Amino acid sequence: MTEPVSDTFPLVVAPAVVAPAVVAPAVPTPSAVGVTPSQTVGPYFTMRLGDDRDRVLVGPLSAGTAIRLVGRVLDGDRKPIEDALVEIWQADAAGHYAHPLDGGVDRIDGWTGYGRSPSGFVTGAFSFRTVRPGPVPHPSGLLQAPHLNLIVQARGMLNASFTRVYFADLATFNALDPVLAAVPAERRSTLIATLVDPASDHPDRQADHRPDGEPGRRPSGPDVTRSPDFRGPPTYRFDIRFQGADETVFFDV
Amino acid sequence: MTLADYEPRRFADHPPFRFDGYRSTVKRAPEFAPLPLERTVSELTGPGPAVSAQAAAEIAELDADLTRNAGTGRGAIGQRSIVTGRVLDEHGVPVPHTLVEIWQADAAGRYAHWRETAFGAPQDPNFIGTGRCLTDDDGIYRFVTIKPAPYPWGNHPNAWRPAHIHFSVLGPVLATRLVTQMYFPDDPLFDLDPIFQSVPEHARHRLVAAYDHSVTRENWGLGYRWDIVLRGPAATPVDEHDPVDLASGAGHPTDLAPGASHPAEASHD
Repeated sequence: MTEPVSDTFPLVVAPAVVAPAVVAPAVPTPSAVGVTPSQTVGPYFTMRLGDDRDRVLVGPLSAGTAIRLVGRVLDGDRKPIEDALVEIWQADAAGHYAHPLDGGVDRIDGWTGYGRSPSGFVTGAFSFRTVRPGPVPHPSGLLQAPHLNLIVQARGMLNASFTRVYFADLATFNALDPVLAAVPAERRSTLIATLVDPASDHPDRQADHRPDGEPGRRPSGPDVTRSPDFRGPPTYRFDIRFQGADETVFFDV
Repeated sequence: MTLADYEPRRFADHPPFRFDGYRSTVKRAPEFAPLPLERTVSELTGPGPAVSAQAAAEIAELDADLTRNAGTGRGAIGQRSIVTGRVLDEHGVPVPHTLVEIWQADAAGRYAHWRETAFGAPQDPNFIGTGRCLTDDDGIYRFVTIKPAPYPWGNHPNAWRPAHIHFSVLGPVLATRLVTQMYFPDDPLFDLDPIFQSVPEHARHRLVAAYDHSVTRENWGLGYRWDIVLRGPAATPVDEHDPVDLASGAGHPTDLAPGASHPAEASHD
């Protein structure tokens, strides 16, 4: 921290980005330090990052429309990636993020807007229970359509990939979203979660188990999702595809 | 509400998405380049502060002591080690009160994970291999653990991972999310490991902790120091005649630690 910054090093611009000429910030006076490179999350992250509670963002005090998000992470052969870590970050139903620069932290309803789910060992499915976020502002002055921000990591991924999840039944909002508008039209559908018909085989039956499929951990007792009367919250499906013409759009966040 | 924009992601300092020597990347790397995005409130806020505040309410000191947190009443087997350092942004500003989470193999190279079946080394029943802590006011984290062993992983014939600890940090905003691995100094497997080699040469040393004798505790265990550097807010230009090499590790605090040695980075850029 106290080492004087040498002015003999040339300004280095990373070739993959257009970097502005960066100069030392005013206060405090730091050494410029190299960012820590990313490494793969590996196959064993559920030792630390796989708590079941982390898949459920909603609590009894949560306001808004409860939803479920399910999906799979698919590789270049469209085989399910069964050891991915999927994380979401979202605004609440009123369109505020639980962050000091927006809606604040330590909320009385326990809301953080953050969830993480491993994809299942057998099915490759991840799942979240949350609320549908509200629209949030865009620097242009427009509103952004309701969306979740989603991060995918896995064994075999040396960097995280960032994407967004929009909702198919909010087509009017989506049509006005400035981020979607900047995505080539033929790729936009990769960012839209589809509403699952509750009359069809309910995705809970595939996805609402302990997602890493650890043997012996599945909750026992009657499977209420098998009941013909079962109506879960609205469920959206969002599959994340790597490679191919229909690859999910990932952003340089 | 004032949102600060962030420095661009410095792809040249990170591994490529596809690195053929690491076979699993071949079918899992995206093919399209990530689309440019004007960062918004969605990216310039993030889960770190709320999740860290929640963790602060429930975290216990034992959570950062992997030699004891299995709760068996017996200590973990292995070379007891203290791993400490700072979480900084790329301008050197500490990131205080942020959650740092780790997981690692035991002293025989086994993970305490149900999928760990391929490696027949004995498993330490007094080691769960996972911990968490919050950085303090100065951005300092500190774990007590045992040094993990290398283990085989089947990527290629006789493939062994260098000893490493997995680190997960959310940081202040979505754009600062980082998962990485910390390595121990002078590991003979560095040159043979495609995951380590996937990092551009000029940045590899940033993943290697320095042995630090001032951290070593007499009659107890060895000390290692390793700083984690996240993306930072976009710098405010103040003096256009004083450019700083932000893309290299010049001035990296661990450069000053005893035992740290690596070639001058500028020559690799």
